[in-house]
Formats: sequence, C-alpha cells, structure tokens
Amino acid sequence: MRTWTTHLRSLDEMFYILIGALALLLGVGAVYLNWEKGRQADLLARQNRRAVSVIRQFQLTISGAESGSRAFLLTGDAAFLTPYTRAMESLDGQLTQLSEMGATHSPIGVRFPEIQRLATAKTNELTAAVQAGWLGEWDFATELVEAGRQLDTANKLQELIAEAELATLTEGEILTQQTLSSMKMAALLAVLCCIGLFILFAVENQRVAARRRAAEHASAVKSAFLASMSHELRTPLNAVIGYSQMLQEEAEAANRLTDFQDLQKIETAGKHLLELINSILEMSKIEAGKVEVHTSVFDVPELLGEVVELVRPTAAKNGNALEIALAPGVKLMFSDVVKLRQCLLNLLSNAAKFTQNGKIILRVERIVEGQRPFLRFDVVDTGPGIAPGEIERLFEPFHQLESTPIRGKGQGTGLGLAITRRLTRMLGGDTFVQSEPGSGSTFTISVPEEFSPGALQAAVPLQPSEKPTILVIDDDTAIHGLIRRLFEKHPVEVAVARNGEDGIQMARILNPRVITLDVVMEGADGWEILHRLKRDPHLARIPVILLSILDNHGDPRGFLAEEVFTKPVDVDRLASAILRHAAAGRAQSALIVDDSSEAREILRKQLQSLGWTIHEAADGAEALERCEAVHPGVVVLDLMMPNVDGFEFLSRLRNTESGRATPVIVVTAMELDSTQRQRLKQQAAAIVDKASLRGNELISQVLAALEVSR
Amino acid sequence: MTTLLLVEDNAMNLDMLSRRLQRKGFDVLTALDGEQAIQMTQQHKPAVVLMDMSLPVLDGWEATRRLKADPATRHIPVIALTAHALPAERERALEAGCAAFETKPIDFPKLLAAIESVQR
Repeated sequence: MRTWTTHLRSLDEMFYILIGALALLLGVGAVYLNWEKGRQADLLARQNRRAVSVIRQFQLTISGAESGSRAFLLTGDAAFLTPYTRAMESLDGQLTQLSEMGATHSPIGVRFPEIQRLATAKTNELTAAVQAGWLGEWDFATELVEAGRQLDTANKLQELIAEAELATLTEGEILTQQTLSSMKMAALLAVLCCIGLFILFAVENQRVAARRRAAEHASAVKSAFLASMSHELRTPLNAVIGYSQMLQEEAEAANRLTDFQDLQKIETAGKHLLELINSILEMSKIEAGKVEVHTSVFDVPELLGEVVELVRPTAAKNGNALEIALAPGVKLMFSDVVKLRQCLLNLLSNAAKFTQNGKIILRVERIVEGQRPFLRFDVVDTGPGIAPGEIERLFEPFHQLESTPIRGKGQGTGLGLAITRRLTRMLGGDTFVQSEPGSGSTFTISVPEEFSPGALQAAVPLQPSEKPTILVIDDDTAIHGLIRRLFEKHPVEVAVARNGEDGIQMARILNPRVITLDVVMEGADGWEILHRLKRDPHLARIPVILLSILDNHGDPRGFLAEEVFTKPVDVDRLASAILRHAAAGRAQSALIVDDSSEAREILRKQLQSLGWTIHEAADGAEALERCEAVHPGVVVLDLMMPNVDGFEFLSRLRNTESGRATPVIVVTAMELDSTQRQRLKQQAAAIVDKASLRGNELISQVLAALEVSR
Repeated sequence: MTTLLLVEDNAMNLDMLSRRLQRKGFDVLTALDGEQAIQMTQQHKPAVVLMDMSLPVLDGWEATRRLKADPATRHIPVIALTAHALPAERERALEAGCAAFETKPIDFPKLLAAIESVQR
C-alpha cells in the first residue's frame, strides 16, 4: 500500500520535473537564439559602420580626383594634379576593399558591379581629360569633361553610393528592431512560463496537502471505526448468544430436546460470527498499524500448559491426543505474551480441528541463531497434510484450503494463519509450515527469546554495575544532566534511557535500585510504562519516582509509584528521595561508632532521611557489644577512639560469626599510611575523608557498601 | 436471597442477564447509568454490583471509583462487565477498584463463579 502511494507520488513528481525541465529548455533556447541574433545584429552594425566609412572614403576619393582634374584643366597648373594622382593610386585598393565587403554585405554587394562600372568610366574619363590637358589640347579636354557631365557618371555614382549607405544603415536598423522585439517576446514567454509553472506547483501542492489531510482524516476515522466496531458488533451478538443460552436452559429444564439442540446451533453460529468479527477487526488493526507490542517476562512452560488446556476439549472431541514436549533450558521469555498465546492457540486449535483420531504434539526448543537465542514452537499433527501448491497460500488472508472437509462447516475464519504470521513477525520471528499430504503437518513459530524493539539492538551491550544504579527514564536531557550532577562524586551509577521502551529493557538488564520516570514523555505514555514496570514480576519491586511537568499529585494512576515530583524539581529533595527509595528494603539499621558525640550527631543527621534505626557507640568495645545485640545492617566507623580503636574493632568484628560480613564504612580525619590503608581496604567497604563528607554522600556510601556485600 | 445490582444501558442485555440471574435465585436490581448505580447501591446495599463500563451520564470506571471512595459502599464488590478484552482494559477496571472482570459476551457459568468468589 505504502509503496504504491510512494510510487504514484513519484510519478506525479516526475511529470512536474519534466514540465519544469522543458520550460527551462525552452527559455534557454529562446535566450540563446536571441543572443545569437543580437550577436549577428552587433556584427552587422560593425560591418555597416565599416562599410559606410569605406563608401565615404571612396566617394571622397572620386570627388577629390574629379575636382583636382577639373582645377588642372581650368588653370593648367600641374600642382592641382596631386589629389588626382593620389586618388588614382588609392582607387584600385578601395575598389578591391568594396568588392570584398560586397561579398558578405548585400547592400554593397548588389550595387558593386554598377559602382565599379561607373567608377571605371569616371576614372577613364578623368584620365583622358588630364592626358588631353598634358598634350595642350585644352578644347578637347574641356569637351571630354562636358561630355562626362552629360553622362552624369559622378552623380550616378554619388547616388549609388548614397543608396548603398542608406540601405546598409536601414538593414542594420531593421535587424536591431527585430532582435529587440523578439527579445521582448522571449522575455514575455519566459515570464508566462514561470507564472504557469508557479500556478501548477501551487495547485499541485494544494492537492498534495488535501490528499494528506484526507488520508490523515481517513486514518483517524478508521481508528475510531475500529474502536467503536468492536463494541457495536459485540453488543447485539451478546444478546443473541445470551438469549439462546437462556432459552437452552429453559428447554433443558422442560426436557424439550429438539428446541435445546436448535438453540445450541444458534449459539454456536453466534459464537462463530463473533470469532469472525474478532479476526477481521484484528486483521484490520494489524494492517492499519494499530497493533503494538507489549513486552513482559513470562514463564514459557506455564504458558504452554495454559494453551494446551484451552485446546484440549476440541482435541478430545476429535479423538486426538495432545502432548507437550519441552526441551531443557526453556524457561523465561521476554516478549508479548498475549500475542504469543494467540499464535499458539491458533496453530493448536487448527491442528485439533483438522486432525481426526490422531496425535498433536507441541514441541518447544531453544535455538541460538547467530548471537540471539530463539524459541521454536512446533505444532506437529498427524492430520491429512497439505498439498505443496497450497502451502504458501495458507498465509494469505481469507484463504481456506479447498480440500479441507472443514470448509463450509463454519469452523474457521481463514484469517488465523495470516494473523499468526503477522504477529510473529511483529515479535521479530516468523511462522512456517512443513507438510505432505497423508503424513501430517508441522506448523512452526520461531520467536526471539528476548524481544528487542530495534533501538536498543544496536547499542553497546549493557553491563550491570557493581555500584548501586539509578535509572533515569526521561526524554528531557536536562534531567539526565541534573541527576548525573547530583551523584557526580557519589559511588552511584546513573544510567539514562530516552524513552520508555528502552527504559524497560535497561531496567531488566541493569537491575537498578530506583527508577525515575517522566510521565509526559514524547511518543510514549509514561503511565503505560509505569504499568508495565509494575506488572513485570522482575521489575515490580524496583521503586519508581515519577517526574512530571504537570501536577500529578492525586492522579489515581500515580499510586503505583513510590513518589511523585513536579518539574521543576527541588534537587535536594529529589536526591534524598532517590537515595531513600534506593535504600528501601535493604538494611534497616546502622551503627555509628565515634567517640565524639558531636560527630555522631552529624553522621546521624546525614543518615536520618533513610528512616532507619540508628544505633550509636562511643568506642570499639561498646560497638562490638551493640553489634552482637542489634546486628546493624551497616557500621559507620571512626578510627581514633579510646579503649578499643577502629582498627582493633574491625579485626575483632571480622572474627565474630555475625559480624564477618557486615559492611563497614570508615569515616576518618586521620592521615593513613599505606600499611594501614591496605589493611582497611581488606576489612572495610569504603574509606571516607571526614572533612570532605557532604550532604547525601554518606547515604550513597552506605548504599554502595550494601550493594557490594549483597 | 442474595441481592445483585445489575448496571447496564443496553435494554436487551439488561433484560436477558437479569432474567438469567433471577432464574438462578438472585434478587436482581437494575440501573441504567452510573449515577443511578451509585444511588441504588447507597440505598439498597446489594451484595454485589455487576457494572457495565461504558455507561451514559457517568461511566462505570468513575461510578466504581466513587463507590470505592464512599465508606458506606466501599465494601461492596464490583464486577466489571466490558466488551473489550484488552489487557489494558482489565488493568483499568481493576485500578478503578473492581474486584473482578468479565468480558462480553458473558460466559454465564464464569460470571456465577465470579459472583460467588467476590462475596467471600
């Protein structure tokens, strides 16, 4: 389902990406074309400028030659021939230049032959006139000039040149105009494309958002539907089953056997319908992802006994023997007992239904696959068996075997195996089948002995500490830091879990002395975690201190916890509460041995929040007496004392039967040499500097000493 | 004769269950919602209350909590009757102060056994 929607979405996205790419391509194309056009226009403009200057130069040359020659003919002064001679020298070069330019530049190109013809005619005429002048034939020269004028060569040439110039300029202008307008068009097109795309995206976004809202709504509706369905469907069925039972009782009392049997059929049908409804609801819940794993520690043999007893009546009805074969080493399991029970019941009741006068064995073994131990439950029957082609289809929802004689008798829902496989997969395992027609079937469930919800799986394997451990279950890292700092210098381990699921698992491994639990954690209901902690026989005795942002004093659910704190917490109160609860159920008394009554008073005050009985002794002799009399859980000992000192007391205490294992914490202001220190280390749980002892540290020392002596 | 209070808002279930219980020799009082249930309990002090949990006006959990908070009715055992078989539902009912928990459709012999056992 999910992959399908993802797929569809990616198709949509592909479409829009394609459109976007196309628009971009068009835009880039238009810009490129225009840029190319602009470049051409620019090239043309430069050519035009050059062409115009060449033409003007040519015009000047021609008119220079003409006026020079005319002046010579009028005056006979040879000095006037200089411009004529220069013009004649450069004319050929200029004509070549024009002809080259005409090859690429049409306004000149089309007119060049005419220009060349006229220019040649003009130069020939001028040359003839100048030569006549040189020869002194002035009349003939003047005649020639006149004739030339009549031919109007110069004017025609001028006209042509002016035309070429104009044409050149016009062509450039037209091209520039064209370029400009097409640039405008391209820009307009690009803007339109952008607007169009933007609108498309906006519309699509809206559609996606609307679809998501609709999907969320549908999911919420589905959940609500599932929740109410289970009630709405059961209520009328309850009446059907109940009334038929009631009438059965009446029929039985009145000895109406036929009525009784018919009513029994109504009841059976009603119960079957109920079973169907339950299976369908369960399947829908699994498909909707509404089924959660609730872990606890449970006794496997106990569970097996329970399920076998439930199936025994059905098995007996079909003449089947039912046995448990339990391999050694199968005892406790940490998983979801409700789901596992359901799976086992499913397989066992199938076996009991489909086997006639045969034998059903529930065989359980512990198998280590890789690093993880699995429990393997085999349900072996001597029933009809399953054809190879049918085996995989068995696990499809609503599939029932064509060949089974049960079909149509209203005994199965066709969902049992599908549900079983899905549930075992949720627990990290799977369901398989091995079967041959005629030689029975073996259905197998394989599930990890210890369920792990993934998150903790990758973490470093946890080791229980030798120090007393405080487990902090909180998603607020500020609380982690706060509690760590509280016990920074104490012989106490602080472990943290960021969510309830991890917290429960860590509690199982670390066996903490006390747990602090945030009841308003994200993603998990702290109340639910509290329940699970208190339901678990291995964890139930661990004191739990609730930390909550809300004032939950008086919340009835809080009664399972030992104490409730509202955040922000009073750190000193929290610290002493943690230590008090950590010490609860351990030793109940302490003996303080010090010759100074003031010192005893200080130590007593430090221990008083534990609520223990505190005994006192002023020297070693008295202390030994008190130990014999009251058997204190822990001794807090000064070293420098009159009569029997601390060293002496310790040696003698260790030689008594009752005092051999009593934890002793030495609290001293004395400078110890290495021999003394060595000796004390063997006999005392801890040596604490009297001067640096602050606040709750003595309690932590006491806890640590008790932990070691465990 | 043992007096029971049956609290149930569904008329058919109420009729059926009360008749079956009467046939077993119980004196059956009935209430249709949580508030009535509290009144009836205070007034008649039945031996056992059979309480449906999803009720109008005041639900079964709250009604049970109030009965358990009242020194006059605290000693009367309440058996929860619910359509939900979930473990959480059971916890919730027991937490509210119910002495036993039965899932609908009611298994009649089991219910009779529960009525017997909570009175001890």
